[in-house]
Amino acid sequence: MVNPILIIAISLFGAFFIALISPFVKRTGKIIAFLTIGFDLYIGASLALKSLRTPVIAYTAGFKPPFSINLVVEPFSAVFLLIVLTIGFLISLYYLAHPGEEPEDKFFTLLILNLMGASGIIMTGDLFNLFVFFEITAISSYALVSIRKQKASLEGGIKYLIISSIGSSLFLVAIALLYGQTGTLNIADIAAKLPFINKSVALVAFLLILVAFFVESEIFPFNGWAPDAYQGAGEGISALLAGVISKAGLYALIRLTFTLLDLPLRSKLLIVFGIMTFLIAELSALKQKRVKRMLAYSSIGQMGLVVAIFGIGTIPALKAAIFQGVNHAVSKVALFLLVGMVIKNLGIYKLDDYKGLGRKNPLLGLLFSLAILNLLGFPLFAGFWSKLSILLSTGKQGLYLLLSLILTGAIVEVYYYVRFMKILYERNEEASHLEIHLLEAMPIIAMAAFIIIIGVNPGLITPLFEKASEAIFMKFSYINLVIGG
Amino acid sequence: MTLFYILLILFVGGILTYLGAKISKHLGHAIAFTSSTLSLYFHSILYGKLYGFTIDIGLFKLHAVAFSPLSWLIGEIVVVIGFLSILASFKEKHSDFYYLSVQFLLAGMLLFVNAYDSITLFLSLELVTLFSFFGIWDGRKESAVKYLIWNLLGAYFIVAAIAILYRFTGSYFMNEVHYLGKAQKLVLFLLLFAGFAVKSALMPFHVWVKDAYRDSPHSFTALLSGAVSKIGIFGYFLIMFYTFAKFFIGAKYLQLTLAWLGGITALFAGIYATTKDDSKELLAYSSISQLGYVVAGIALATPLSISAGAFQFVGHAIFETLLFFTIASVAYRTGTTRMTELGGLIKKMPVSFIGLLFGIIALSGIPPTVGFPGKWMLYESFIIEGRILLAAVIFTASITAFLYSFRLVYSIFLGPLPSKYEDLKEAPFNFTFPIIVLLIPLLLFGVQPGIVLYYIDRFLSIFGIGKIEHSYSYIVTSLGKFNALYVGIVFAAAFVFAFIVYLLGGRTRKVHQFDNFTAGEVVDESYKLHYVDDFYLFLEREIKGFLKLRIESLYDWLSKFVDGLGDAVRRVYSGSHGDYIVYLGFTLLLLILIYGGKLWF
Amino acid sequence: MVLKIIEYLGIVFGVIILGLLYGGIARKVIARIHRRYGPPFYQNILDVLKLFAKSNEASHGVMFNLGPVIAFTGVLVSLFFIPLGSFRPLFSFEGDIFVVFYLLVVAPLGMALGAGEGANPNATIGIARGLTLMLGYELVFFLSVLAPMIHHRTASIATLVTVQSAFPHWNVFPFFISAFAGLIALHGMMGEKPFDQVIAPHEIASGPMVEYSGKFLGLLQLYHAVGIIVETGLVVDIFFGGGNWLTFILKTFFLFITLVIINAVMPRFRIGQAVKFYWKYPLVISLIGLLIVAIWR
Repeated sequence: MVNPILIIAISLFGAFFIALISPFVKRTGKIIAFLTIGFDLYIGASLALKSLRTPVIAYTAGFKPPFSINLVVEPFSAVFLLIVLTIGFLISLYYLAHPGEEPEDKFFTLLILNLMGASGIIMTGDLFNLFVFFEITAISSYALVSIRKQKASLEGGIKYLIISSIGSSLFLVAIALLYGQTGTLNIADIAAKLPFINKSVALVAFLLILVAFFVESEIFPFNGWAPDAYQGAGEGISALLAGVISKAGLYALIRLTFTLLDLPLRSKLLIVFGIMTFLIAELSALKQKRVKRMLAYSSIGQMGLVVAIFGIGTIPALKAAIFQGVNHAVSKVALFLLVGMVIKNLGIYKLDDYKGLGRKNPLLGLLFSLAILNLLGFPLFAGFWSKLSILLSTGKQGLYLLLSLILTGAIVEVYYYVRFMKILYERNEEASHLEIHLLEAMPIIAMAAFIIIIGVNPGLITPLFEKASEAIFMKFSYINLVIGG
Repeated sequence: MTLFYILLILFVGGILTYLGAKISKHLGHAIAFTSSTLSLYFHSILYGKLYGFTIDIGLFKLHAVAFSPLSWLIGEIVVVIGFLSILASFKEKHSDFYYLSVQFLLAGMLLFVNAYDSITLFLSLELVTLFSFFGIWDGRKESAVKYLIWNLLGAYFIVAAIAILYRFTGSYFMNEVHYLGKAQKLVLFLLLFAGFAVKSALMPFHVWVKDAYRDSPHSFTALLSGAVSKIGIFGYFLIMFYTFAKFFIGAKYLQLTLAWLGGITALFAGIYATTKDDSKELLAYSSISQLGYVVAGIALATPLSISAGAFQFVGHAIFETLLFFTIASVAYRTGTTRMTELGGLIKKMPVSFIGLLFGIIALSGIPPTVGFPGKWMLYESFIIEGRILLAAVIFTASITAFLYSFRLVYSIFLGPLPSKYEDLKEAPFNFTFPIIVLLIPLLLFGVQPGIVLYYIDRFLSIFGIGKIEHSYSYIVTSLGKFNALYVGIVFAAAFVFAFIVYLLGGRTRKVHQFDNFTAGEVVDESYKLHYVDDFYLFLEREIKGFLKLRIESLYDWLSKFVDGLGDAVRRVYSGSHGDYIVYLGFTLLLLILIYGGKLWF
Repeated sequence: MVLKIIEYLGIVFGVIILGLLYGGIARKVIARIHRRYGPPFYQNILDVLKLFAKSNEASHGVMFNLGPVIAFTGVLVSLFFIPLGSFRPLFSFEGDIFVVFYLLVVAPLGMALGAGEGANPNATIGIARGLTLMLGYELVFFLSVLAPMIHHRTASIATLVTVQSAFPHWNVFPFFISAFAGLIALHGMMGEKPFDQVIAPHEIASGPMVEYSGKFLGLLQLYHAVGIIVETGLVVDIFFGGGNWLTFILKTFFLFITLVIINAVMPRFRIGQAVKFYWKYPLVISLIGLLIVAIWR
């Protein structure tokens, strides 16, 4: 019996173990982190597989909900759990050969805690627990972002801290409001009681939750922290932000707005804010001179796109949004890790300094190109299918304006990414040679393989998304699952 | 399943070429040669058969069926030109990835012309875009980026139309659409048309062509112009006579508008071509111009005009490819495509000269070459339909073809030979072979146009459009008749006669190129005797105002605007957390006011 | 078969002689207008014979040699697709007016190619001018010929000749506006002043012909001679009712001499002016002609 609680427990154990032994044995943090997250992934994967057949619910203290705290893994959360843990695992694999941020033991402790928080957000069925996990993730992220003792990191971390804590306090207010109305903190229970509560309270709670998680999932105009945080953080942490933290925020946003507070204005708000984010971020990325900042804006933009597509709310749209989320996570993480490798070797940050790097280092260039082409949605790569699904599902609902705005943003995105590729492959005799550790490149190669395999045969993975989107679409199946059973 | 195996050969061949080239360049070449030969062979034996496949990739089912006789025809054009282009490219310098892209590109094009559902259509379209992008990338990257942006714009038009079409029909098949309002059909049609127009470089979507053709590897340009542009043409056929057939056949004004668009493209591009100094730029505009005829023909949608358009694109595939191959061989030997730096190469590269000569003869549409029957049918159909002005525009465009094609042949092959090219040799077999091969259909289809018309006939009858009266040698319309065979025979006889007259005269002696009439001046290399710069200056002077009007300036303005917008939007992220908190609070307040207000008042 | 070939050869020789005589007479007429005595009317025939008799002439290469041959071929081919009086070769039904339009281009192309290899900038300038001028007159000619074509719903020259077989049915009467534009175009097509920028002996030393001598020039003379008959013949067939061999010769002769007389008293346009001229007046005239046909229908 795999129990979801194991993920929390093992992570906590691993985190404390690092703290425990680090004074005696140096430089073991990365190995312990790798093992811990690897084990998490193993449990997460088996949970996910299991949950596709029958959802897994774990109770604490032997009571059934709504009287106890519970962890729920059903297909939608399973997909997100898989994303988060796989990305986390790949990042920890990357750090095996890549120097971690100093101080290393604390860094890896935080990394594990962060992942634990993210998995907690995804698995929990309780609103207050969600808040706790949310705080764990957020606080560890602030620390991770600013762990590098540089001005930019500290600045990014502080901004992140300020904005995000406003978000979490809004969330707390919303929890209080809902608790006052329903007397329960169980998500399914509140969802079931939603029709009977005061409409104004529900509305305010909804808006507060929306804003709180818009902050986390980097939606404009609540994402002011994101560019600085991405830019200031270590590259692995930027990858973590793109692949894990923002995805956990996204999960919470979707879960809370779809299941908890299923209000009719949800769809419109998500679409409007999502597409606004997408366009503004893509346009902002156009003029960036620093690679990481450009990637940061692109990451924000992609999150906006995914949120907008979630907003459409039909099963094909949900499926497309999840697919795109996965592709974005994979591509963006790969890109950040690659940038990390470049920075480790050469210490360059500017776009123009990348001149000729891809030509000089074929493997680096190939991986960069694959990740970019996938992100841009070219055929033979997974991104093609997700982008196509997005467009088809948008068109299917008759949202022509949205369709055209997505395509406009996509053109802008293509332009600055291809320009980046051009710089990578420009003729430059002075381009440096990179020492690429195979282990370091391993996670990226794995992601590239994933991109291509799914690109050739998307059928391998789409049933999973299908199940997940059905699960989130039918809100009552979740309610029945948790409190009806 | 043969088609599937052809695609598989090309995909696997592409990957193997890439890997093989890492071991040895020759191994890579051998693999690329083998796979392109195999695909050529297997595709050729599909002649006259109905073929296709369906594969399930989980998310979608991909259907490929040769549902239109043009599928095989264009597919064959693709594999032949692809084979020749790969052959020629062995002599040029390419990255290993280039061969992969060419083979993937061929596969993409073959899939496109057989695509039976919109997903396959879009998939293959994107494949074509991406891998032709990589082909140009091997030449010059700026132009490749320009190509990509424009062609993606086109692809996005198409995918938008596909998405909307899917909404209304609930099906991914490109079958004829029913149950749609006229306005809906019109919008969808125009979206698809605009998408294909980018591919076939119809004005005003032609601006990528000049750069892409000029800067792509020389042998790849032949493929781009000869085969890739046909993707757009096939797309026109698909939407006009299949998906929107009933709608389009009835929409007279739409037909006329599109035909005029084609006519104007033909004329304007022809005029632009006369002003270009670079031979590949000149040919790029000539290619645009020639495809303008095609659009004008098929948009008019009578059996005769469709046949004209279809014949013209077959001709275009032959002569434009031939011309680009000759330029490729010249560029291979001299290292330049700028006409001002060339001259007199006829003495050094006779085969290339013959190729170029016949190329321009066909291009200007002089019988009995493949360029004429299409143009002839085009005029006849315009006049039968009473589209006199359109006929006049096309006719003027074809006169510009004389202008620029003479400039091309003169500047490169005639005139004095610069002394730096004294030791030049004929281009290697890899270049002369494609030239010689392409001369055969150029003349054969010129005297026996029925060979091509047979396919077009089948297309017309399958899609229920009508028929035209013709045999292998002649074509008859209600206006007149053109017997290509007789013209050919008379031509040959007249040439023999004239040649006999020539032989009757006295002996001649060969003189040096500077041994000519210079009003008593003794000339040498330092005198510029090659009249190449500003060839048609007196013409340009007369149409100065017209040449200034350029759609490019609009696009430049647009791209500057987007750039400026990006710069402005970027400043929203001021970097001050105070601002961000204000954004957050303000937006939250606004939301509560808007939605709360609705609820409370 | 053999008879047919002999017949054709006879026609070709006849046309050549006729064309040379026309040229000779034109020289005489011009000379008389210029108050000179002028050469005898058969001078051109003697010239050709002389040119072919010359040997050891300068040649610049294969294309240089073949250029005049192709030019001559071009007009010969066109000849067979135009009804010449009562002589209606098989071929006049096998290719219509558009075929002739394009066949007529072969000859200038051949000359241009040959002259090009001569590597004399004068020649190339002449050709560039010729092609530019073509942009002017060809369109006008095309539009003016369209008028009777559209009215009679045929593009076959032979059919056009048949429908206007009797005197009052000549196309020139109903379509006098188009015919007028067509004549202006013909004037440019034949390179008569004020449209002789291609040759322009005082500026560019006879243009394309600058390097040619001996039998090459002879061939070009033959090309020119046949060209006269072909071009005037085309206009006669379309607008002036063709006729039997005698009336055909008379009509072409008078048409030609009219053009020559205009030529004799005209100065020369700058090339830009010439093209502009065509785009202004004759083009408008021909469009008016077409408009009338459209209304009349």
